[in-house]
Amino acid sequence: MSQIATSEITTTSAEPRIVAFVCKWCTYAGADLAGTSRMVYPPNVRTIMLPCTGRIDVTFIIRAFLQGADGVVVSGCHPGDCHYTAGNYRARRRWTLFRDLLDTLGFDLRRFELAWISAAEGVKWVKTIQEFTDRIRDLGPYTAMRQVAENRTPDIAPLADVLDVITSSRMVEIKPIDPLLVEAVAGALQSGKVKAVLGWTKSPTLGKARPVWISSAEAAKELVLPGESGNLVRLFKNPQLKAITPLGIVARETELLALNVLIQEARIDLKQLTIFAMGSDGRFVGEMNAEVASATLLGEMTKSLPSDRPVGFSDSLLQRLDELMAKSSEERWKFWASQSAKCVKCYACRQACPACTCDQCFSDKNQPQWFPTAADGPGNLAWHLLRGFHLAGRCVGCGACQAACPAGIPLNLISAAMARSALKHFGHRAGVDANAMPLQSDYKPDDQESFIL
Amino acid sequence: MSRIGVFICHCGDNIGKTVDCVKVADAARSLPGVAFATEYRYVCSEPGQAQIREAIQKHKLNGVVVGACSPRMHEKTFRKACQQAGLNPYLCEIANLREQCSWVHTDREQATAKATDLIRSMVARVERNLPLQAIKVPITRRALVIGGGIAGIQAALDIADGGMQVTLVERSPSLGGHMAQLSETFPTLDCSQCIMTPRMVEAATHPNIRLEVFSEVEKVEGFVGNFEVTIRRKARGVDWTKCTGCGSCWQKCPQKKIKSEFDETLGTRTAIGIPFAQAVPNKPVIDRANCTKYKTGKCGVCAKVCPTGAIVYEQEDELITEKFGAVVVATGFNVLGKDQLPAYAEGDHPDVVTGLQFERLASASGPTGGEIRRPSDGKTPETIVFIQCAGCRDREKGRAYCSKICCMYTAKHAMLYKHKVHEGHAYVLYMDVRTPGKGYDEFYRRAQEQDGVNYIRSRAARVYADGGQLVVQAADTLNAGQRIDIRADMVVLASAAIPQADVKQLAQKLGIGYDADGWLSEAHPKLRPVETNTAGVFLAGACQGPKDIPETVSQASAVAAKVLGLFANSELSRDPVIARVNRGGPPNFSTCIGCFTCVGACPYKAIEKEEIRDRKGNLIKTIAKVNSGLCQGCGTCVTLCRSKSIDLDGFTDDQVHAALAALA
Repeated sequence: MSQIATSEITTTSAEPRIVAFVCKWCTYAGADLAGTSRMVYPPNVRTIMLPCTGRIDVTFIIRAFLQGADGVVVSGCHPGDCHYTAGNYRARRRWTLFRDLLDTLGFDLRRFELAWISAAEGVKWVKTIQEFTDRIRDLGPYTAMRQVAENRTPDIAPLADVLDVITSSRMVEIKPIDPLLVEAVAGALQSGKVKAVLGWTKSPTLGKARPVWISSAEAAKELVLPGESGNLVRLFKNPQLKAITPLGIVARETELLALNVLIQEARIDLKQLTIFAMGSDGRFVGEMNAEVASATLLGEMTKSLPSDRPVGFSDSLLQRLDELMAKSSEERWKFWASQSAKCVKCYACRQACPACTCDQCFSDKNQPQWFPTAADGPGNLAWHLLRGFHLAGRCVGCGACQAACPAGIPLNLISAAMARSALKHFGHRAGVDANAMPLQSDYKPDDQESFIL
Repeated sequence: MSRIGVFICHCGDNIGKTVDCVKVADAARSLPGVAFATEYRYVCSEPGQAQIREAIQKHKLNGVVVGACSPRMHEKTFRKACQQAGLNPYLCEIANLREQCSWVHTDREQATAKATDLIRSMVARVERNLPLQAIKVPITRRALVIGGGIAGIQAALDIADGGMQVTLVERSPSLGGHMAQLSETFPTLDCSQCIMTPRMVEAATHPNIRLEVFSEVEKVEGFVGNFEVTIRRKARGVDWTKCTGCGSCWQKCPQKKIKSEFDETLGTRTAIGIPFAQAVPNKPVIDRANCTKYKTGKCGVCAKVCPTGAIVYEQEDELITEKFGAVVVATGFNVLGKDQLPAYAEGDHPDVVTGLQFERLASASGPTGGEIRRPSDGKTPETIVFIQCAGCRDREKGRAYCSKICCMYTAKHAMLYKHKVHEGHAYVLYMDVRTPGKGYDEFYRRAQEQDGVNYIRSRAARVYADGGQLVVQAADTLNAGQRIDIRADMVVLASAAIPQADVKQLAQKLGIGYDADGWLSEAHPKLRPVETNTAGVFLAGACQGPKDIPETVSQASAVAAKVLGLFANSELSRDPVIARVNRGGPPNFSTCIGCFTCVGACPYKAIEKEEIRDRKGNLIKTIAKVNSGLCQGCGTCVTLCRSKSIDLDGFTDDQVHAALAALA
């Protein structure tokens, strides 16, 4: 029953279709006040009440648009007024990131309105709905979205220059290994300090680097060092690893960042982990614990970064992102529609990602069906939106997703946009501080909110 | 298979006028899962409820949707009706066809279409509702009263007399509030302090009341029946357990020229001392901002003269945490300062005073000993002009409301003046005179008829100084707006009653609302006037809006009745809208992976870690677990959960997605 009824969407009516998600305590009461005061506003809005803006999941908004809404309003208590103390503050962070995500994908942000409306502001509710309905009426039906939602292929106009990035980053080439590393790994295995060490080796069939568990001193000779992308930390997803401790890992910056994300989220037990730290120049830095490794490798690196530069992503990728964002939102939308049309839903991006650590991905759940799971227009759009959103503030820019994608979708661009958003608005860099609160759990009362009415 | 019953209410004509209820009911009947649909003139009436009960039994309904007024109005009513018929009340939902449809739309066709959509959406939701059981929580039978004015004192006394424990927090060093400042009170003209101070003493000596004066509420956690409140006891500089209140310190304090807050800056006080002679408790605090010892390190006179060695300069603020079952907010009001009324203040002219300042001038305990003398030169004023509605009932100035108490207190002021200065001339410039209340209009007539106060219907434009006097310029609105100029020795402004400047911060701590003017919001303007939208938090007195003493006292007693009613139960039952982490069989036991993103985000610290172990006690997995006693059901955790392992009973993802899908 929760399947999105795509067949019903085809009727294009002239009347704008608007869905509002409001909190129970402020905006719903404010809308009631508009009623008791007998104010009048357009009947296009259909309101869904939730206890708090904190409860308003982005999947609701995505579903509303996919099933034919021309505009969505989200509203709740003013900052400081939340009935549950701080649900709206966390919602505000979420919306900031989500709006930037939508913007990256070329979504028409004029169709997504956010407002603080208190229980006393019946007038503001009426004004917001009136003006929003007028705006949506002027904009007309959201045809760009409906094309995707109805699985009609939009005019494909790939931005060739942005696409270049894919071919350049998919190779995981091999670099020579520092013999000191081999020595250290062999030594640790011999002494019994670790039972196994995770590193890279050369794939006999592909000739590229692939992850390997080294469990004997001799095997340490097989270690190689990979190029830019990829991330070993994804291998820690295997639950059977718990039985084999203590472990070691050959870690570059990107692995350390990913490890820190997992530490933040209580996903790995660090006391049992030995880090064989590799500098960005490919030299073996030393054998240490994660805390020391973070301080040694990440401390200097983050200090030298410009304040608007997220960690992990390559300069060339960020430059591509700039080029993409310089295009119009219509062009971006077409670009991503054409990209996501290539997705075959193999979920290789998910498997390759060190931060995708759920036992069962919500995309594999069907009560409710969070979004259409078929590899089609709506299914792919929803997946890439939600994947990007789940990684906001968590992606360390290793590029493993993009390298794994058989369709060559530039997934890392979405993550880079999110990393930028997290840094710009909240000063957050994923994986830099293992003790920091997860970005979306946290809030500051003065987080920016210029986009909220 | 769902068997849902749909009941569409016409609400007399309120819904029926704009929404075609018959058509909506017909449309509902054809929906899959709907076993019965009907419409009725008043579903909330007894026959209407009986229809619901009968239909539940006759059609074996397993869900009910009522299309009626806002769920904020009658959700309880309809859920109760369902319960009476044996249906779990949480299987009943309300579609808001009145406040958010018929009352706000004019086009019948579009409103009917919207109503049909809302019903369809709600039916899809109810199909996924689960039967829930109300949650029982224990109650701490101790009330916190914030504010030690007449409202707080009355509420505290009534609750304490009912046998329950009360902690009364007041931020100034003494109980009393604004009422202690007043001279005489309308309409009986009895001396305010004569009726107030005995109540203050009663509150201070009541065995069930604990006073926390010179203290403020720092932090509030928890929920109805189980609040945990941190109170900041500000450093007094004096050990009150040793102090006997003898007064040596404030008699000898060399800082004597500090403007007294109690006397509204018309009198002076010392740096150590009590705010006024009848203060309760009668023990001093040191005003650190004005004390020479704190400013320069020299002085220390009070410590030298104190016979009990009670002066402790190095005393620090103290934080105490206590559990309460209910919180009463009685923080009162303030009056608009002269600085906010530049047209009347003539650059802070000393002879332009606010109503509250005039109270101090007329009070026997005031700076002039009750003689009416003007502040500039101490001369007895021959003419006083009273300007009503100063700063209120004026949309341009941002205060459209009426301050309610000023008509009566201005009549009282004019009367007191005439009683003290028989030959004096009193002019009252008014917009309207509003004197509803027992004995109130008679009182106002007495001012005019017996005491010869001149009432002029006019709006004062400005006040300016001229030759040692003040000239009030106004337009006589009963005489074609003709200009009048009155030369006066003094001007008294009935300045607007305004909310306390920092009441919003307190409201935020308590999670209660306030209106556009800053007055705290009651749960319902008519039917729940002393409750707030946060269960267990109540309002007494002028923090909710301007009020006179009788009204304040009745509201405070009403609050006490509410609190005692709450405390009459040993446990509380509340809506079971709480979050829940999914659980299943091996090998995963839950889709929760234990990332604990939810833990840091929960405002109630309601999410704990749960270890799942095998029979031998080996740890399999650590996952999140919701403490149902602490969870308040905001759903923030649900949204943050990437693996979608937490859901919110009553607002499950399945329900919301279904309701949304049905709108397509």
